Amino acid sequence: METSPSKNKRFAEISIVVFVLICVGLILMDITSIMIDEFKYKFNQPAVVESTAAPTPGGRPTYPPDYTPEPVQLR
Amino acid sequence: MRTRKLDRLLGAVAVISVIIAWVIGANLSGRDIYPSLQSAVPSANHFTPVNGNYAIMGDETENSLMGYVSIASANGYGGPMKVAVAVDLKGNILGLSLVQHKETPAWIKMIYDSGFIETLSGKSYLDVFKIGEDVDGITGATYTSRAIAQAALEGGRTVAGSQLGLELPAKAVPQIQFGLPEITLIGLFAMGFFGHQQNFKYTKQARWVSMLIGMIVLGFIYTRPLTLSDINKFLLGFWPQWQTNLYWYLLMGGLLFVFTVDNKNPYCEWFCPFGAAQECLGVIGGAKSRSTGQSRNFLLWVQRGLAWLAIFVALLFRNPGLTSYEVFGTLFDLKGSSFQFALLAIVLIASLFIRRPWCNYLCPLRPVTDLYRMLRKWMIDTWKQALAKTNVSLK
Repeated sequence: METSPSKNKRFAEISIVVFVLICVGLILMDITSIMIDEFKYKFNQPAVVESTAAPTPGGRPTYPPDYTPEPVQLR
Repeated sequence: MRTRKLDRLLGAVAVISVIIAWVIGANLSGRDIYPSLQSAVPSANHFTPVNGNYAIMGDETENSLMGYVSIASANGYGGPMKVAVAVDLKGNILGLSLVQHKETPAWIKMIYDSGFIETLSGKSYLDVFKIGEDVDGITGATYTSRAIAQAALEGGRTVAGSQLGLELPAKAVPQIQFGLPEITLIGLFAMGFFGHQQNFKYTKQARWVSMLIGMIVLGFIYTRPLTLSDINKFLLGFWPQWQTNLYWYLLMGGLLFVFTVDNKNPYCEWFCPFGAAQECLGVIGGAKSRSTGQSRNFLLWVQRGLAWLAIFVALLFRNPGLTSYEVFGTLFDLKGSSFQFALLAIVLIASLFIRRPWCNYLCPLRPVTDLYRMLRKWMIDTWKQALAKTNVSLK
């Protein structure tokens, strides 16, 4: 049984649409998984010990005349 | 006429939204630096800003200075990286930590897993930090490891010079990297130029030679196809050092020049490595250009929408490679996620029956070139209209 050219054309068109939709789905899933990795990386920074010490630099640093140590907030 | 107006309206919306994403991304990019400092020197008690660097204090007494941390920058594959480089009082590296980067998380994981960062600890500010000489690079993350080594060098020398008062060795002038990829690229541009000439008899043959060279040299050997990441880097202003990235400048500059002057696409049909791979499969399977009938517009806008989304998100997060969804590296370098391997398999199978399915329906570069051409024509039309109006009013 032979298929008509218009049916063949329609089949090709539907196949391409299905192909594109599958690919777009995979691309969106890939981008989402990369972004989840990115967020995981950003929020998994190492924890920092809380310090209440007043920063008192000593030793060798050379400070400008108007320098006053800034209190540092550690998370 | 109506379609052209709609195209122009949507094109303008795309450009404006991308500019908005750029501005928002630029304002959101700052982040707290202290966790990275602590990560570079876990034994530190606290840090104090000193002349643009940070003094590392071992405990709460003023004589506990352990060294300094400098925040150094270098260009990775995806864009600039910021690295916290901790240096002791003799000018040796105590530790490193990534503050900010634009690399694909998989590459960063590769760097962490390989222990590359730890190998830089203990190195002196006098060392050259050159991959292949005194530092071992990481295969598959060459640009990233090179950038971290470069940042370690810069950070170490900044601390040694500005905080410790040590004499610095002369700064090495970066060597211009001009090799086979650059020569091939120039040759392919030249071949495309002559191939496009109307009186050139062997256009078809020249195109196949160009495609095969592109696929083998730029694809399989060097894995340097044009990707959305390159376009994003260009838009974000993450332009790498020209001496070590001449290829990128030749590719981007060459394409912009030809598009602007000649309105022709010298890349996609002539030497895109992935396009060539699809055409080779197409020859095997007898692939044809298929008519998409009534779905033509739907498919066109899906492709454009996907490209817009990818650029918008990349600019918003200021990370060029974040949404670069091409599967070029998956084919040429056999690297990628399971989604990318599945996508590659589907595209390659489809290439046997449909001519260049990726290029025609999915590639983000086509909407970008369409938009560029439309804006170019719009500007020329506006210019001509303004010129005609001026002439009429003068008469």
